Amino acid sequence: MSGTVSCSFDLNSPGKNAGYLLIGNSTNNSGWATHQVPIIKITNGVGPTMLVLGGNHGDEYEGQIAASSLSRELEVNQVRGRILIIPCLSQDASRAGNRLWPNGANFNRSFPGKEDGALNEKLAHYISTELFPICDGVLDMHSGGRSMYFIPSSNMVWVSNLELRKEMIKNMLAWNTDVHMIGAEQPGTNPYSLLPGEAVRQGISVSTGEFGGSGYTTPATVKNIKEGLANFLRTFGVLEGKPVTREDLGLEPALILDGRSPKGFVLASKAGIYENCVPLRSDVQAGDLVGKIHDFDHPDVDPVEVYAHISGVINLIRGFPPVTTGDVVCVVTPKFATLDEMERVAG
Amino acid sequence: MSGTVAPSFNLDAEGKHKGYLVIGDSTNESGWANFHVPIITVKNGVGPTVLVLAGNHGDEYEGQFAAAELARELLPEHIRGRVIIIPCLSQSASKAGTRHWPSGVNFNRSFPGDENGAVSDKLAHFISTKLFPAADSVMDMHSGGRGMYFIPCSHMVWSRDIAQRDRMISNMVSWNASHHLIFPEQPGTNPASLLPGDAERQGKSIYTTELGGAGIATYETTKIAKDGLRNALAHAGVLLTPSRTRVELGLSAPVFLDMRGPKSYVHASDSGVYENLIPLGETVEEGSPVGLIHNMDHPSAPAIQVLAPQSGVVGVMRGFPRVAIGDLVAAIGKAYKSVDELPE
Repeated sequence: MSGTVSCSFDLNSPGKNAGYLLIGNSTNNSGWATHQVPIIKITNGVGPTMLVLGGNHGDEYEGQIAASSLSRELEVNQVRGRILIIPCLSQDASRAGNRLWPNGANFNRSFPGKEDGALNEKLAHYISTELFPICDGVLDMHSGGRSMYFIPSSNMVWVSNLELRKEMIKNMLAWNTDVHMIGAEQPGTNPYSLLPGEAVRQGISVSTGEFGGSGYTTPATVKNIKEGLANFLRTFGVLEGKPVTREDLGLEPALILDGRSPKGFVLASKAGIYENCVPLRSDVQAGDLVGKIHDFDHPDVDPVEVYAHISGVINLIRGFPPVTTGDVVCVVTPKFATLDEMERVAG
Repeated sequence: MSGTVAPSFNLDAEGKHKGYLVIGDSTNESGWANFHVPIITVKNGVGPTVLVLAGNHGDEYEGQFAAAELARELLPEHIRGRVIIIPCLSQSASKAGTRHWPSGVNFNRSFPGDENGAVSDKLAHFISTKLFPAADSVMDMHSGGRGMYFIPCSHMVWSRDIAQRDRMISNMVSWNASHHLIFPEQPGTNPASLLPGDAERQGKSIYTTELGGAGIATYETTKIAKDGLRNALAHAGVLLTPSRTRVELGLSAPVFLDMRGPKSYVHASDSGVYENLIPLGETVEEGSPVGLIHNMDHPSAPAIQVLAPQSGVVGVMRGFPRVAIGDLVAAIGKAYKSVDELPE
């Protein structure tokens, strides 16, 4: 239970409602304020409950656009069960075009939250104690943010719970994106402080994706996420209509990338202005040049070259060119030969 | 003359030299400081002088990479005449990833500058009074910045002076981009306050580009900058290698987009999250939507449609999705196969 966050309507009522999560707030400009996070619910009869989330990071807009479009377009008779939609979790960060909240908080490191904490902690606490427990599935849509540009893909963390892992593979494939990526848990980070990590801890079927990056959207990335979202919801059984596979659509099999090795991460070795020297989705070998770090105080000095540590596909390039030591500038991911190979590894 | 900006070496010297434009500065952290803007010259005998400039806006990186690479690789034996390179005009803005200087100044509205003004004014004044007069050609490489994403292009402002116009058309085409955009002078802006505007006023041969946007530089857009810069230097008569056309390189003929009319420019009617609906390079019909503005405070409210004021090809789309009323969200131009087909 959360005593500091409430919903402006009854989440257990039938039909469609649009309202807000209301969070007690107090700012320099507004005492006794209420921070409002829009939430939409569409319920129709018996079926699973799916929580659709966008804007976990403020500067990742594909998910916000897809979730808000879905919330307007969905009619009650299209739903089987219940769909809860929060189009933009990090409202102020989205407004500012930032990854983090104005107080510096990364919402995706705020879990399981704190009932009496800062705003982001209150919201995280409400989601983990009130929303997750009533959900069968949780969808968290990302897109790189200003600093990174991903091949648009659905992805998953290789969780140790085998049954959940199989469900998450099914969720990942349901997006029909050209590429899927399997990731490791993030180094140096408590996995349960992440929104999807907390959902996994609660044994909930999770779906995630990185649908672009660099803080802008294109018609292609938005179309990709909207179509994937609809097919994912159909596959999960919460939206009417028959789900389709890439094969049904006449598309070649998706590329499945194994991003579990920490050696795939390429970090900036010094501060400067980073130049991407390989195209996104190209193949590189271990030791190949992937980028250069320029020192524009001394542009005549040769830039520092940055190399791939392992062979694989360039799954991520740098978005925001100014870098400091330790920034991720590139991720190289080996590919699974086939879906069968990945599933063999899945056990 | 500028008494407040001094090059650290003789810009007229034969051979290759590197150093700084040294500008008197004084900050809270550093009294009696010098603001350093790196500059590189390569000279070989008699020939044209070409001024290569990048980082006019800090968050436009393709040109900075291309100019910095040129500064490292170009040798006197590659050229006839002189190339003066400033890889990054707006150093602090480039480091911060912003369009404007930390002082809030748009460097591309700072011309003709002021000898005794702010650091940006001093730099503009030096360029306007010392570098432009010494140059035959001026190249100013842009890439949209965080707010906009251009179809990678070279472009020009349509000049009333026919000789100047013809020269700028030839320069524009020499970049070998797939698209060339033709602009009017910017509304509500003193044209001579822009760097290329001041150079044009001084009768210089101008080369300008918009090589991408949204503050990201990809391998592909950076390559267009590097290849285009080399070919433009050959076209300007300073690089000894021959200039080549797209057709000679086996590429498709370029497309010219006429963006001279006010109906080319689409502005946000409301604040919110802007969704681009038409991909760059694709056609949109007059009156059909080019974008949607989502109200994330009230996502149930219908998204506001932003309509195309005219039919044409989308040459610019929105980068940073958060918009306020009046922000540019798209630019649409009628497409032509040849610049000769353009109406006067």
